[in-house]
Amino acid sequence: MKNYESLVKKIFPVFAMLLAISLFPVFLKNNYYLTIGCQAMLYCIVALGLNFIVGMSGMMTLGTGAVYGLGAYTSALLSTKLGVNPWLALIPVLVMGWLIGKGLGFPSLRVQFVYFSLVTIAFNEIVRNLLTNLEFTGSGTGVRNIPPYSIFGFEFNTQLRSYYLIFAFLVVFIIIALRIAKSKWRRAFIAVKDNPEALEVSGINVSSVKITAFTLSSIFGCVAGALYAHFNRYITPSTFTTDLSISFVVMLIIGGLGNFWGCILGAYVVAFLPQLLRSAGTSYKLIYAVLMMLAVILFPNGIMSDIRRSVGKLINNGKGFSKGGGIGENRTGN
Amino acid sequence: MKTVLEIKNLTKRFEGLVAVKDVNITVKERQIHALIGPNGAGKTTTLSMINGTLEPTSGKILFGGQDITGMPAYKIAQKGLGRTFQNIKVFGSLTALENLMVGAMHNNNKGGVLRMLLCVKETNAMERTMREQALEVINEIGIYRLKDEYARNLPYGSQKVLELGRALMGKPKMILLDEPAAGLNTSERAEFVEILEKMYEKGIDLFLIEHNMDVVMNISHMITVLNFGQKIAEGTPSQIQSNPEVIRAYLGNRYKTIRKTEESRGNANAGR
Ligand SMILES: Nc1ncnc2c1ncn2[C@@H]1O[C@H](COP(=O)(O)OP(=O)(O)OP(=O)(O)O)[C@@H](O)[C@H]1O
Ligand SMILES: [Mg+2]
Repeated sequence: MKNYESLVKKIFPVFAMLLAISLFPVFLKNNYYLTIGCQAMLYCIVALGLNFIVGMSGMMTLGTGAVYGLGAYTSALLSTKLGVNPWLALIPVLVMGWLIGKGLGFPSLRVQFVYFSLVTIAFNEIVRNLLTNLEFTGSGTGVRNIPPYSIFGFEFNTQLRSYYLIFAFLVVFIIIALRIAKSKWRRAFIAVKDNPEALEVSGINVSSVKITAFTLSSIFGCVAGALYAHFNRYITPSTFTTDLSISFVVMLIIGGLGNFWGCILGAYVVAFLPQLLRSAGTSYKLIYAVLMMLAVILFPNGIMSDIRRSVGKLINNGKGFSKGGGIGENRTGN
Repeated sequence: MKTVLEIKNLTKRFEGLVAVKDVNITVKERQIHALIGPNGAGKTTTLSMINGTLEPTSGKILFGGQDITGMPAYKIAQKGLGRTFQNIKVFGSLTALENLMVGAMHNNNKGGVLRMLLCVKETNAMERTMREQALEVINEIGIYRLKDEYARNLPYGSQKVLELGRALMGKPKMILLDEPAAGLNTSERAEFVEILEKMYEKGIDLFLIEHNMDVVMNISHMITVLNFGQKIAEGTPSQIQSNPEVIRAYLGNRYKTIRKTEESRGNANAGR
């Protein structure tokens, strides 16, 4: 009974959020906002995946832009050059994510901290360079005329249709992310960050936990990239820069590392803030940067974490006052 | 008595320095075996080689008759050899209860993430098993009321028992303890020793490094003494206390204080 109650309590906010996201197009009908709305949901998926590595396991990877790009190119090239159905192409996209996970996870076993971040930046640059220079990836012009997803002749070829398609994927990834966050894997990821030696001594292979985090994260990133390719209908290598990788990490940092709500909030802030600042004209980048800096200074643990913490404190203070403390004490001898 | 742990000609060389030299130790089943010696004698190094954290330069380690030399630490832990550290290692950003649950993960780790996502029932059942076991252990080690606190916020003494609890969660055959009583005050120490004795009675063999002679002489059946990486003595507590080389190298005047406490204890007993 109590379990059921707490489940409802936990599920309800997620449900409310999904409802809000699904109603978004009702209020902001124009294609411009719908496009940014789609972008924000894609960012959410990437951020939720990246959270396993950066947020929980504490490894600063700056190669997620390339992961996103490789997912996009895999699906785009297969569907344009070989005529593979985009749905079917999701399988190679998953395989791509899995492979990148193993590949990126490997250096994390050898090098740490800043050195690891440098390796991931190098990875991002190598991928971007290859995409720009190889002929079969379309060189600098990228891939055009990418077909949209379709079900029985119904094409997801407008902004509104794409919005709900991406929304459906977002729901699936949120469920996966929440399930992982509720499982022993979250504890293992955090243990990798806190004290890998103690985790190893507890009978867990730290290398394989790290690789798992990378694999999950890359799969999230690659699928989001594939969705992006078929939504945008064309892709160019200049999208998948280290700048993009940094933006993904920024989402986590301003939202709050390791925090589900932080990922979502961060993704929306990074997707929408630049657009809202457009009216500021040429100085928008400056204002954007200053706002980001302020966010980090004012909310050092991330906006969501800090808000939760202060709300939690308020609630706890209230409890302590009314019950006079010592609540836990009674249960000690059970 | 059967042998649980056997260390043969174990040597560890760091550049230029031989930290452990040709050490042989045999730990019998159903014993509390202590490893003592002055600072820098190579005790922690020995322990780390046993549990796989450090690779031996040469020598052999047999656990339950099986050669575990050079095996990765996580595999050795899975074989039932738990460990705690001299400098506490807990997972600071997990709660006390979650710290314990990590200790049970390797016994509840069928399949990877995909299986976890697909087999909802199995996953929930395993999660429940781990939680229940953790609740049991946290009660045993006496920090139930701290179960939802982040480990980094726990007092030093509670972190130490938490670490022991995490080792217990793996259902080990034997636990290696590196200075369990260090940094604890008298009452905490007594509490810790009580927990250790409970563990021992439950069937877990203990191998511990300890500087506190009160603890060592009271709970151990067998003591091995290291000095400058070499074994200089081995025997029962009374044999060790009267061994002139041990007194010279390590016990020194501490020996006298122990004699005194022993005497006073003897008197107290006689008085009863
Ligand atoms: N990783 C290492 N690299 C080089 N030397 C080391 C290393 N670890 C330990 N040593 C050295 O090996 C020797 C034995 O160290 P060890 O930590 O095993 O001693 P100990 O008996 O546990 O001492 P204490 O009672 O102070 O904990 C010391 O001289 C130490 O400086
Ligand atoms: Mg030591």
